[in-house]
Amino acid sequence: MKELVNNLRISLFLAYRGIVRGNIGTILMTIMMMVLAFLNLVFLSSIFTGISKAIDSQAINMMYGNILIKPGKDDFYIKDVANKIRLISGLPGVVGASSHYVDSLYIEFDPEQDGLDVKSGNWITKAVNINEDRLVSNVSDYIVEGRFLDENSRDEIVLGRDVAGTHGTDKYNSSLKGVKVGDKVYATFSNGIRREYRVVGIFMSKSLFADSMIYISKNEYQSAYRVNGVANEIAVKLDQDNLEEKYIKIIKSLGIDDVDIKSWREVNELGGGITNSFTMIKGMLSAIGMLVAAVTIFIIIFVSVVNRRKQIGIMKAIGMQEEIIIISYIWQSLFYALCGVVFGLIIMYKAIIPIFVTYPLDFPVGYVSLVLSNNDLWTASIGLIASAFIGGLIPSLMGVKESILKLIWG
Amino acid sequence: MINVIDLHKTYMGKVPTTVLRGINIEVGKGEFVAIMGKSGSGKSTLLHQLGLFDVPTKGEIFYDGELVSDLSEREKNNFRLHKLGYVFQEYALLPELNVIESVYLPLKMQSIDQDDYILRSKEALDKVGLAHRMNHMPNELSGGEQQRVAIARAIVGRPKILFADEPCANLDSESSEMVVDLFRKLNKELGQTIVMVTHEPDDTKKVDRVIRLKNGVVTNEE
Ligand SMILES: Nc1ncnc2c1ncn2[C@@H]1O[C@H](COP(=O)(O)OP(=O)(O)OP(=O)(O)O)[C@@H](O)[C@H]1O
Ligand SMILES: [Mg+2]
Repeated sequence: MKELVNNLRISLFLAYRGIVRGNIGTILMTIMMMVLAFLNLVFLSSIFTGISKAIDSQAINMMYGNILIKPGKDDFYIKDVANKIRLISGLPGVVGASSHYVDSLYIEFDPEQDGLDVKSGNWITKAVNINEDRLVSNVSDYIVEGRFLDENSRDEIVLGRDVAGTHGTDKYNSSLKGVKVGDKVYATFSNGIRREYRVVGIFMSKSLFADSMIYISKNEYQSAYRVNGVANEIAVKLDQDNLEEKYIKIIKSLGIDDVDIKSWREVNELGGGITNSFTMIKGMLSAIGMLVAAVTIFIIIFVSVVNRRKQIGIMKAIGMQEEIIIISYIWQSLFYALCGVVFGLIIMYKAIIPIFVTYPLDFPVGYVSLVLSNNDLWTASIGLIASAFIGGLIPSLMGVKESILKLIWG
Repeated sequence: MINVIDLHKTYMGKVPTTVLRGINIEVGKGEFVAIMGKSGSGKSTLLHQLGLFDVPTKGEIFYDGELVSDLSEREKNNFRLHKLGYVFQEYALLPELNVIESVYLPLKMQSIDQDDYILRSKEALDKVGLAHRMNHMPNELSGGEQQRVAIARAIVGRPKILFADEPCANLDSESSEMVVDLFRKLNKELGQTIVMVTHEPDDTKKVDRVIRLKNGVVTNEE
């Protein structure tokens, strides 16, 4: 025990002297390599986490809310909607609840109004109560032309850019190919009712699905179908994410039991699948990054061991136990790895993340900024330090096992 | 002090080279012995066996009656640390340690208290005349000075025996003389047992005894 403590002290002494008296250029280069290895690990994970977060937040804010309530098994509509909205909205921690009618509208657009060359297609359409929905959905933030519906909207329609076929859509061919604000379109509800609407706004969220949707006001649907006080879904927005399960229980406990209540995750199968794929890709890239970091450290220590063969020989010749020499290399590589983690984190939090928050990446899935999750941070830090441990251990172990004669005289 | 009995060494390479062919030597406590012989006669090889750097092919080495040839690696390290001092031909200092650190390293390894090891290192440096260069780095010293630091490091642990393999080969004649005189002084004043390989005929005057090697055997001892 006493010997062990003393050996650790000696190795620390040697490692410390090796670092403070070493070549400053080499040391800075080594630390820089570690920083790069660390950034390589966290940067990619942060982008992927950022993408997943962006997709998730789009699903919540544009599509489903945190919790989506659907009709019970045998019902087409949710009943007694106003009462449900009132009960749920009153819960602390609930930002809002919005009831929607959901239909598939067949839209026709005749640019020249001559009955020739009519563009058309079917799109999912949400009929919303503006006052309720602005608490739950942020679609109105993404209007790129015109305005969103308002309380008095009559005969007005708002299209996603993939419906309008403008604003750089990549679904031009299946769109209405160039509808502008002010244009007239015909909409046929699923029940056959056909009406003329004026396009008042076009939105572009870049979200996976939202941009191929249509918004009309609730009254339009209710008059077309002659219904009132019912809905196809209610989206509930919470003031915190990840509390969905708790609130589902609370909502059920309010006596709302004639409906199907799900968290956005359960509903968001496609989006969830994409997020899962990203998580898998992230895992693979992290594994590769980790391997690169481990190999980098290994090479650095290996070169340093090769350059110091003679010194290792001298240390053995004056009676130094092998483990002291090995541990002194491990201390050194741990030091480099720790520097890599510390400086890497400083650079990440003080430079890279702020830059990407200010200038998010304009990805096809939306604007993405870097999000470094605690999980990824720890994985990268511990991974780098573990790599350093192995990268310090193996070369020095290999070096130290050679005979003194070979080490000193080649 | 040392008893070497029928020591053989053959280097196993593609072509096995037999270098030592039955060496028998005895060195007594407090003796200053020179090993001489032509280049390639096996002087370094012999010293490597005695310094436990290498494993003899055959034969036995006893230190004070203790058979050292079959100690484990760990025990050999400990033996070297506590009982042997070794001075190499080239100045074998660790470049990242300054003079005093180089000298006290072996004492630190022996778990000796800081006050004690600093004191003893200063004494050792005093003996080699370098106490005033304590805080210098090896690359700030001349070859002779580095060699004297290496000697201080070798003797600071008060080894039973000090080996030196052509310690003056890389030094000018003045430094060489200084080093050999230093050995003489350590031998006289401290009773330090020393085995030194040398080429220099003049050195024979300063030692108690010369062991001559030829073709892997001791030819005659004076
Ligand atoms: N590792 C080795 N493998 C094979 N042969 C070796 C090895 N080391 C030394 N020899 C050979 O052993 C012989 C003796 O070498 P050694 O170094 O002991 O001689 P030396 O007496 O010290 O010579 P010098 O005065 O030149 O230092 C030489 O012929 C040398 O080539
Ligand atoms: Mg030699």
